[in-house]
Amino acid sequence: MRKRVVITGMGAVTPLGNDLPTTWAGVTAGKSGVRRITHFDPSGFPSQIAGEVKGFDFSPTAKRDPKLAPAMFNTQFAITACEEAVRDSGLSLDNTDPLRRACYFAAGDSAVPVNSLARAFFDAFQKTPDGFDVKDYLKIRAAAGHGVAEEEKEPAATLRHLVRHFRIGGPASNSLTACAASAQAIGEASEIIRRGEADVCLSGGAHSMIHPFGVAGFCLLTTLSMNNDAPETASRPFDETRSGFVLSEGAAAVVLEEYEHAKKRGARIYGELLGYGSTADAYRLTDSHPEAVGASAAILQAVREAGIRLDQVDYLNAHGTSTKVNDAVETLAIKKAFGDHAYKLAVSSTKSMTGHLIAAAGAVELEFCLLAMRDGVVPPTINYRHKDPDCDLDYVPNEARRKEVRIAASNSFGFGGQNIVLIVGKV
Amino acid sequence: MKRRIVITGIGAVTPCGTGADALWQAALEGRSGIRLSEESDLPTIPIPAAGYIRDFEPAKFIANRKSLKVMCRDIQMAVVASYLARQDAGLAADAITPTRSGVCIGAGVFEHDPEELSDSFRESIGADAQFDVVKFGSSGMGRLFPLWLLKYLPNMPACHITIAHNLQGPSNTITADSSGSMSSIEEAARVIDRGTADLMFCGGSECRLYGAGLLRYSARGELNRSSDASYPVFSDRSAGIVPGEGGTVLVLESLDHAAARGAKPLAEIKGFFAGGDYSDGSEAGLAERMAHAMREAVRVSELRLEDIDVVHVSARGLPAEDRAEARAVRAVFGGLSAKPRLAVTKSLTGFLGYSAAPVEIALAARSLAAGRAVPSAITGAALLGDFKLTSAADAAPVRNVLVNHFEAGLTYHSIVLSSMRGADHA
Repeated sequence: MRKRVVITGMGAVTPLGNDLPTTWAGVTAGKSGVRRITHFDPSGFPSQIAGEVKGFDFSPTAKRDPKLAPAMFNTQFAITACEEAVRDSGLSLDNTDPLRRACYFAAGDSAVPVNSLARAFFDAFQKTPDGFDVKDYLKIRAAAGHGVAEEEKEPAATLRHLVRHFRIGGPASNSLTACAASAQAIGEASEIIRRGEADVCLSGGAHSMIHPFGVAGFCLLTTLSMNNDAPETASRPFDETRSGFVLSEGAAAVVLEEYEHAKKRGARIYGELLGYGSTADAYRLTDSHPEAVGASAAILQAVREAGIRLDQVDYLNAHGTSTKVNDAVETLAIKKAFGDHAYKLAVSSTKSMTGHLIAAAGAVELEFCLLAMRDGVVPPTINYRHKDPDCDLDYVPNEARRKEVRIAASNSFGFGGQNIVLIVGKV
Repeated sequence: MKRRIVITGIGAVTPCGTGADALWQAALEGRSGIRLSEESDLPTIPIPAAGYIRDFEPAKFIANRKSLKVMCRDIQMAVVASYLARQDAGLAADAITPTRSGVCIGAGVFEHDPEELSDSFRESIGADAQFDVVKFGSSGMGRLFPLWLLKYLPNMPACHITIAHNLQGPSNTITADSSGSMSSIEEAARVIDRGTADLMFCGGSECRLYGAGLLRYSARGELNRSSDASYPVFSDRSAGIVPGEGGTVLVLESLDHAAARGAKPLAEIKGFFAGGDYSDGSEAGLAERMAHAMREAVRVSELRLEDIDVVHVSARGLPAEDRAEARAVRAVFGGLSAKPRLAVTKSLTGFLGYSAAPVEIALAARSLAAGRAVPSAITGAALLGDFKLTSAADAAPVRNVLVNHFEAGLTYHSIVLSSMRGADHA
């Protein structure tokens, strides 16, 4: 018998709120969390807007657990969302066996410490005015003790903190497959439970690339929206005037649990993880396959694994990044996979409101699917004004919709060609 | 395991040479790939010695020059290792069913090449000689090449590997320091076991001698600063890590799939345990977690402790970690009348980070295929006097091997590999 996996706890830190209830209230109200960048002066950059986390204070947590003091955003967001998820699940860390507890996260990297890096370059330039001697630069960095920051900005640092903070004795892993990472982490986490390697698995993702090098990297790839004058309407998935995604930051965490384990302790169950599809495009580094081969295959794989009919899916939370290519190819993937049902399905991109949380995107979007099931409310795609002939599905434009959702799916596709689809259903 | 899973190919780019045969030969001869640092090596921190790869020629393997340009050294090594693994597995182009084949690679965020950044920083010097982020945005950034970001994303090795071999099944990247590639091998096995794929490439690569990677080892106080090219591990002289670089990729298949194409597997993966280190950090605490990993791996493999012929210790020269492992090995196996031999091999290559665990598994798999233990390469006195070390003269059978990969403060992994020599299975 295949073990059943359910979600019993959730937490989030997003541009719309520093917990999940606030975030969900924001998305169902059609609010945007996108503003002009404040983490640094963005005025030199082509894209100057982002979905920053606002009013976030980690110091009380670091006071409770002093080893978290040097933690950067990747870890700060992750710990905060995970604490909320664990609290929400009602699971006691003290009364459950650490060996039966796993963690499969998708922490991204944190900011490159640009000022100290610059200092090292500038000092090296002083020594060789007409050129750059890499030896000088390396010596300066070594002498300046950049090691601690380098350590903390690594995604592995987040995993170390999670393992220690939540006393994880079962499998512990961290996926980083760009924009698909946290959906993939949740999918693999569910497999660890199905194999019986753990009863409970903490999963989700955390990321912050809103730093000069992160923004520069995406600007160079010309993938970011440059609607700097109107941040709140910049992310407009499936709209004909869409022109790029909006970089965001934050975290989302879920507690996955083996169904019998959850039932036995009388846990509140948000839903069951029914299916997980995972494919690769094997096509190009950034472009998705124009025929949506991998994406549609992932949808079908997840549906098959869920053991449901395609027309049972009521809501699909799209990857919907607001780039020209993604939204058109994703629409094609949905049509290829669902056939006629594609037009009856409610499809929305909550990235229109949250922006793109990169490694954390898939997890927060799965949470929206679960809350849509709980509340009977489908979050909208905001900023949808102009119909694109290539994008002709029901995108739940601009306003949330009352609708009973029994089964929902979430798409997450990433640079590098990973296509992940998760399907959840009511228990 | 619901399905039988086997290792059918090894691709290794290590300080001991290019290819699995070079690694195996070096191991048999006890020939270390660690070299004294030279002026041209340019490690970030002056280190006396490291496992350098000075003759790495990616262009020999990667025909597409354009894609070579968007790969940093770590990515190049992983991709070259994937070609070598495929060759070693005897996988012809038509032997791979794209939708039934995938990849799972362990990799961290790659180090930026300072030369590549220097121009953009030069453009970003403000009036007060400080970094001017506005100038960086308006002109400094433009000095980076457009695909710059793609050179350093951790999932790029996996991405290039999917394209190189047309793998359309799952593609994952695990970022968890050196444990990440051990996890990648376990996950590849899980993926095959659950029937999502029949064939997986897995492993990892790391070239952190030149960037911030060494800063991290140094900040943790983990580097061995002794002045020669020896790398004592699992020894009374353990004094830290001697780092190295390398890329190692394995081909895993279901036994059925391998048999159907007439492949000759090197070894079978019987079972594994992976667990987080939630210990208090004391030596006893670490040892308890490590012992649990070993016992569980043997248990889920449906073997008895007595069935284990050789234990490949994880030992990477960190004194407390090495001592804890010795204590754990004694706790698990010390009471047996016929104790397993211990294979100590990190000193061959240096500690290869994301490539360390796959190298250890590659050595174990080759040893099972050859029916002889990997000779230990040890400096100083081994930590467990009452356990025999493997040696060149070791002629005792090797049927079941336990491979450890322990990283204190992160995760503990033990995996059991068994010989394919059916008749020898007593």
